[in-house]
Amino acid sequence: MSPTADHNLHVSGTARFIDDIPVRRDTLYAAVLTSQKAHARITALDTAAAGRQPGIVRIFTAGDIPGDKTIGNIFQDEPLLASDEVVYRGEPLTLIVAETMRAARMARKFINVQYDELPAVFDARQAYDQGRLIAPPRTFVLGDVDKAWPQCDIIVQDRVESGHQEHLYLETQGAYAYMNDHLLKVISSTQSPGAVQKMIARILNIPMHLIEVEAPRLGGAFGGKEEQATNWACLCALAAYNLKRPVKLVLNRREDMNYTGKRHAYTSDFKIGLNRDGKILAYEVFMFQNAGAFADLSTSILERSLFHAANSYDIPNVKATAVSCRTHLPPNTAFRGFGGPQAMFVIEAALDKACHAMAMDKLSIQGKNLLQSDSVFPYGMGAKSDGARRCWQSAMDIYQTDSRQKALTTFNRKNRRFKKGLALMPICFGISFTSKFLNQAGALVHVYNDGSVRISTGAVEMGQGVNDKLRAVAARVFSIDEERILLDTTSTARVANASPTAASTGSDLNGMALKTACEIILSALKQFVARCHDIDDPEQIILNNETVQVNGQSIDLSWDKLIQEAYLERVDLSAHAFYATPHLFFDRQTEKGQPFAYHVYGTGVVEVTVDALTGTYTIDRMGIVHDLGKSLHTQADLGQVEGGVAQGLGWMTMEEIIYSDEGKNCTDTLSTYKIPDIQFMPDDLQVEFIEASGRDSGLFHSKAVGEPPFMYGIGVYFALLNAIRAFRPNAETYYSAPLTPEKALFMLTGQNNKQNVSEKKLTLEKKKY
Amino acid sequence: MLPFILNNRWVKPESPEGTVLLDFIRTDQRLTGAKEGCREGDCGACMVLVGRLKHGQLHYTQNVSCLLPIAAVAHCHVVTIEGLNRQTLSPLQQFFVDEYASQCGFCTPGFIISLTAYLLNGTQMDDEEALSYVDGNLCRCTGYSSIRRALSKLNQTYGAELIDYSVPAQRIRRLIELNLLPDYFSYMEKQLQTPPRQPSGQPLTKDDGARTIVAGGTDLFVQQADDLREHKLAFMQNTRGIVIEDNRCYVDAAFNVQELQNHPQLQHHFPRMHQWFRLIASMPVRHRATVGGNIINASPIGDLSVWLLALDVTVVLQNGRRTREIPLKDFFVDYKTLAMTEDETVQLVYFDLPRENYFFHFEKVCKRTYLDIASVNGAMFLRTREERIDTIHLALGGVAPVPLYLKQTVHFLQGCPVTADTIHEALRILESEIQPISDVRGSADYKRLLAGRLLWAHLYPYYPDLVEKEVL
Repeated sequence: MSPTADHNLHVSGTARFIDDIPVRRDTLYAAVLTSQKAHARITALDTAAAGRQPGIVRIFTAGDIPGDKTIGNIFQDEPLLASDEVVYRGEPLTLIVAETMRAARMARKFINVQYDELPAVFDARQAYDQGRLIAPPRTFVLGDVDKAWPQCDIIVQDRVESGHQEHLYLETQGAYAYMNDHLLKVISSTQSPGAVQKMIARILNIPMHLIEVEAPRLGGAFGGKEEQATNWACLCALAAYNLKRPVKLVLNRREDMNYTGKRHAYTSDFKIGLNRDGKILAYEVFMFQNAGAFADLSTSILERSLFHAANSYDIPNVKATAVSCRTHLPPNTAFRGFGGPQAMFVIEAALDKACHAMAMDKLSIQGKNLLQSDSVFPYGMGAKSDGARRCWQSAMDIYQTDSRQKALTTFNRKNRRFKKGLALMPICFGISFTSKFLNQAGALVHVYNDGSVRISTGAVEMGQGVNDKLRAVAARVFSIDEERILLDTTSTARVANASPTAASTGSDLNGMALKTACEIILSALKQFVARCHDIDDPEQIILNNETVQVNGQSIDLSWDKLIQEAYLERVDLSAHAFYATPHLFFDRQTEKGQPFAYHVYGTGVVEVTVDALTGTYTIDRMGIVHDLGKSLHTQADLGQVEGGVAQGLGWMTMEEIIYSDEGKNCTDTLSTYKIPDIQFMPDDLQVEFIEASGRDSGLFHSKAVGEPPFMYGIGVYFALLNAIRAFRPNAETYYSAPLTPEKALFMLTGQNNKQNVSEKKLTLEKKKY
Repeated sequence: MLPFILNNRWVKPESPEGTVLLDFIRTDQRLTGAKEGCREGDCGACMVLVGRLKHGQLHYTQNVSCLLPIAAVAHCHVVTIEGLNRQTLSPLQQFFVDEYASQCGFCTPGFIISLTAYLLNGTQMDDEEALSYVDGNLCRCTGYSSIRRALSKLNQTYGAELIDYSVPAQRIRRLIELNLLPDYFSYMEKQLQTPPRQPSGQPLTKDDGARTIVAGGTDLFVQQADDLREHKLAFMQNTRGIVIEDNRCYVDAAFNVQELQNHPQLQHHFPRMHQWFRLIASMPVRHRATVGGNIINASPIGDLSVWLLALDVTVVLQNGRRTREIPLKDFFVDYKTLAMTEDETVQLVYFDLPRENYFFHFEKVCKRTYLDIASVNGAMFLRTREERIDTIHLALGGVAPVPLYLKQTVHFLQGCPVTADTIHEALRILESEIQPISDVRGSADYKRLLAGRLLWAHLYPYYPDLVEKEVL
């Protein structure tokens, strides 16, 4: 590890996050007062008494916003501060700025808000019935399901629910803003400095060049700071710009959990048909997405649900429809997987149900239907890879799933109280922003005349290891020691118009731009060497391990010396470069195109033990085969796989957001919202990387890794169902994640309490079978 | 305010004594290595080491600084991550770097602190023990695999050697030699024995009126940290510890849960105690939480309360010079209402240590096995004589406004044989004794179902055939 890597700072507690930055002497602190009602007209908002509290400097309301009063990247529909009407509990109403954080927070109770309550909707289906949509439904079609149903030997249908998930980045949302001459400097814990800059310009009605947004490093984000860091940065900027004093706004945990959106809850209806050999002939799904009160990124997330509706399976007839429904909850937002996991859970549930009905082994059905090189996705793109099958087969081989199955069956025969279950989860995830314009990046490289290198890109380091990968890219192009390279914070002043660091594309896009920038400097250096040494073709010159070689022979020219001489000879040692992913297109009329640069494949194996007496369970083993291409940084990639899996397992098991009938988040603390701890994770978790696709993919043939591993976690739901069925073969199982110990115990005992599964219709059409 | 040593120097806070340590170190001292993650002791990002003199020896434990009022660390040695740093990384820090055990890095200082507590105190020095020291640390990025690799490496490198150093001062000296602790740790014991002199004319503690009595404060400071900041605090002192006389065990109300867990004689009587107590909160919280505090808090799902109810403990209350005794099962009156007056304090609990032919069992069901609050928890004490129940105590949490002693069920079972019929009848009575409500920890139906299942679970280790035949 390079000494300039962040990890050295992490372990010594010297890595600075927003709340750790030494504040300027005259800094003020801000707190937000938010709506206490899910839907209401504001009849009075009186801040006078609060304004008289000690230490209060100013209380901002919507009227104090000089520019546009709404924000949002796709649709600008979200008021920065609500004025006439509130549409979710936790919606910001006023910004209180005080000499201390404590004073700002304490003043909230002196603000008098009068509400005239209006009816509220929290359920996506109910919102749909009332026509409360963010955008019209979209449908992806392949083949013709209606013609296919009669060909099927078995058709099953059911409902599938998956709940909200809290990001629980350990660093809460926050920003620090101050004026520096003309410039408004905003330090923000955001995945999207560019978007934050743009929104601040919008609400303050000033040009973007007067605003610099910097993201030093993020204490976790997972999508939760892609769109939703913007509100806090804008509010902070509003106060600092107005008061001409530094202002800090950092949410505490409870505020963060109440004010911000989550992974979208989905409720879906599926219908799947197979022939007697287990080949899937048709799949139809209708997904209702609970968007919350404003658009946020919901329509993009919905689109990815459609892209991944069939997961890794080759299905000739698909009709997938999805609709984003407007409810009175905090606007839900990006979260690792971005709508993909919700859709994949549905197709896996559909297969589970079909296999159970046919009394067939799910593994064989899954294996039989995996994508092949000539498969076509429902959105018209060809798979052109047998990655899905190669990962599946490797997983079967490496983790000896056949013999594990047998061992589990023996265990289950011998044990009454404890039952084991196993499941495999194949994944297929498309890499690129599905909004084409976002697939661009810039990089700025400076080589200083002592040979050290400093790099800026649009990528934000949030723990995913992008800086380590970028450092590896520059070290590889220059063939120098990584210790020479420093990765800068992410700033709109150094790289303009950067896309969010999201969609697993951070390393791919920024790395490609960086590679080009380094190559520009390298090329200038080679030309310089060619001039000095009378070499006709600069391509005969290479840099290898800090020295210059000509036709494979080292000449007496080290990197240090080369740079120094080049500098004296006035060679430009800085470069900026740009990258835009080629060949992407998508037609939203036909819903066909090539939205992705490539796909990532993999297969996860999971084994669980269920205690039939109490409904509690443990995850015993996990094995993963993951398609990584040629890894740029194996440790970073391994960390992404292991960490993604943990979040996926949490989503399927213990992570449960509960909103009250009034739209209040009842799970707004770490004592009520549980995420995996070290002892929940299996002792035995193995990850194997393979190069499955055999095609050119991303940067130096590596593949993006951030999101795909999350979806291995889905397997645990079905491993648990299998264990439950081992105890109670006819257990009435249902598909409602998370599968908490509560649901498990109800399934095990046959006591009916289908909490979230309302009016479950069990329609099993058996034809010819 | 009394002074304490922060890393390598004495500090004398001027903040109100109810200020939590996290605020003092981050805001007043500008040491930002400890992070604010939750302010309820559930994430461990704010972990610090607290060294206290006990019988002249310096013992360190890891504590969550967000729930620790500064008055509670008077004359202690508080160590933040900055206090572990030297010019180069320590081997522990280096293992984290080598194994890529940090991603975003926000939780990392907390893990380093907890594992330093492990290096200072570990007795088995194996991975399981190391894991138990980070049971109060959450990480959202890594999925913990890389952290497990780092701590394994730590054990492989130093575990076998450190096991031989059981005297704290010797262990500290060895850790310094191994570069796992900075040098200044070698003179902290002496420093604490001779705290700086107070300016003359200023008494050490000035008694100026009402004080809020605090035991461990691990729930109090979750609920009321803002209010308590300005309060004068008085801390319950553990003066008596555990005394066993004539087979009766007396436990000081201020005795902490971790010490209870580690107590050799109790472990002898309750061999699975260590395992069960690991289900209660987390190690840093157990270091602070007290026996009396758990009772006084009267939480309907108090793990320890349920445990103590099944031991049929007696509570000793004190008011000035007067003391009186009350069985714990009569002490919980209603939700957060106790059979005591405002002038009384809980001083002790005592119970008779069980002799032969007894079973004791504890169960706790929650969404997450460790560091979670129970949906339902329960404990059973059972002694049989000639195939019949001689003595039984049953307690359940999460099914009533109070930690519930199942008086009627117990009354029925007394003298019965342990048969399917009697257990089914007992369950019918149990059903009538409980009134669970639906909340975030589960629906009322679920808790009702679990309450019965826990009775079977208590019996399972001793009557597996019966339980399997009846419910499995």
